[in-house]
Amino acid sequence: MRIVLAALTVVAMGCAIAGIGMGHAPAELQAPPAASELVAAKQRIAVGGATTARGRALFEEEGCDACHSIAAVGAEGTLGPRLDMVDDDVDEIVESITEPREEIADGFAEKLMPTDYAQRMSDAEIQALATFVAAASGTREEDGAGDEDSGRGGGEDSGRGRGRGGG
Amino acid sequence: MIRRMLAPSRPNPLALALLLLAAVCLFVAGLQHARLFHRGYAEVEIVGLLFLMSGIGSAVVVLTLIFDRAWLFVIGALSICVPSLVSIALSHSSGFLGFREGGYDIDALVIVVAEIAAVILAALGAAAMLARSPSEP
Repeated sequence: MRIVLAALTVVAMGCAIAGIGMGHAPAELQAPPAASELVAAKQRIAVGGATTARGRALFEEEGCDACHSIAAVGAEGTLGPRLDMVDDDVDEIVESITEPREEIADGFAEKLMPTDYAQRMSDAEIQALATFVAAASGTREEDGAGDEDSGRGGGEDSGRGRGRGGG
Repeated sequence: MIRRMLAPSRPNPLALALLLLAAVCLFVAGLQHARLFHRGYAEVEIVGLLFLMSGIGSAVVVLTLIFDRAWLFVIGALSICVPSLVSIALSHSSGFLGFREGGYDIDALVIVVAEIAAVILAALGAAAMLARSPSEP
């Protein structure tokens, strides 16, 4: 009896630790950007100016990279959706950062992203962060979501960052 | 003291029942930590590794009870659950090792409830063992 219990404990926890039957992080099901899109994203970030550069720094300083992926800067977090495949413009990304519970991407935890970024960060910082995310995704404040022909693909579930905007 | 912890012990039925329930709770919390590790937390620096260690540690501590090391189980269960609960509380407030969470979803609640239950049951089990100990030869 004791041996059976011990064996069950070891097998069950062993499977869990090995990841057998544990599924995947939802973000792992999102396709990363293609090579050409990655190069384009790096280029947009590089030429994005001071605001984008500040946003990139904030992306790391605020720990966004722990949960979100942006291939162009080597961020590989999988707790939240990819942020280099979002369709949102800067204003929508700002809303996702300040009100992350408004809309949650399918499959992601509902209460994981902190809700106090609007208190912790200045408006300018949030704007810079959103501008960086938009640059990484190919959306721009002036042209909104008008990047539909760029072939980023992925559809609705590929990474709409609502609810996981930037934290 | 250490020798007593490492020596096999036969808890009385009440203590054994409480410790077995604590073991179930600890096992559930460990499984949940291991599951969440594979659901994205692996990417979180240090914290992800702690999730995995919690799963491994929970299994080891449960094994100590199965093999009659009741005191070792109590110490192990408390050593895993109390720091874990403190870490969860910190991650939902000021942050833990730079990681912050925004609320308690069902995954977090399962861990919190299981670990609180494990702490209470392990403590009660230890008390039950101590209560009977003086009369033992």
